[in-house]
Amino acid sequence: MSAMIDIVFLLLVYFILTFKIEPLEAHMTVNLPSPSTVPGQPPPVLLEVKILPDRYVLNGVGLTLDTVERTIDDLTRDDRSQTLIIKVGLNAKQHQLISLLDRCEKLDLENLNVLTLKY
Amino acid sequence: MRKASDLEIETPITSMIDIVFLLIIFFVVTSTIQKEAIDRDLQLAKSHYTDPANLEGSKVIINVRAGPSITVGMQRLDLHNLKVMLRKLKNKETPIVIRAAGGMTYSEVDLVMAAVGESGMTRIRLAASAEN
Repeated sequence: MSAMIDIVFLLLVYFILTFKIEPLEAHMTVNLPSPSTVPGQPPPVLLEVKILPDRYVLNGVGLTLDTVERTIDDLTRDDRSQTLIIKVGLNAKQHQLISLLDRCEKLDLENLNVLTLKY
Repeated sequence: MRKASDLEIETPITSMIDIVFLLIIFFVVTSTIQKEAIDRDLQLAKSHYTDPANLEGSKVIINVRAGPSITVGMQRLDLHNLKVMLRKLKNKETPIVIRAAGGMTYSEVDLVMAAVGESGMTRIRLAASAEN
């Protein structure tokens, strides 16, 4: 029987070594512009956040992530279903977008549209 | 003349060992396929407030690294092949999860997002690490 126990031990060692805990991931839902190349009607702009490599710009005012969150919180207190347009600069980093989406999730905002700035 | 200890080793369990070996081979083959859907070395941006998502279920997971280097399942794709693959999907409501590295420049992620959008897919999600 010892040979079989050896094999069973091998199996056990193999599964212990290869076992990996599933990583926890958050999946954030965003809306993208429609694929049509014809420029459509510009959406009614309620709230617009630009993400630039060094700062966030909310309705024309440069802010940090924390101040953006606070301002959006104040502006959307009555209506969390408001549309937020996030315009991301080409040189911005992905984690800046994710951080902003994360804060929006914290504020229960649902209508998040991601557009790309062509600069 | 044989000793008693020699006879003990010759218990007929070879067929069972064969089966166990088959099992080992089966697990080796299947476990590597499962692991490849998610690129575990990819450093996702961290989220603190979003609830963790269920990784199971039917969805297309696109791993994006700087370059952009795109992998879906075990396959390495370029932007054109990605579009071709997504256009073949019948259900345009299938969730698309874009797992882009947190340190990437957005312009590269935008290329992938644009390709996904152009393929007519409507449900797009951006992945972040929910581990604190």
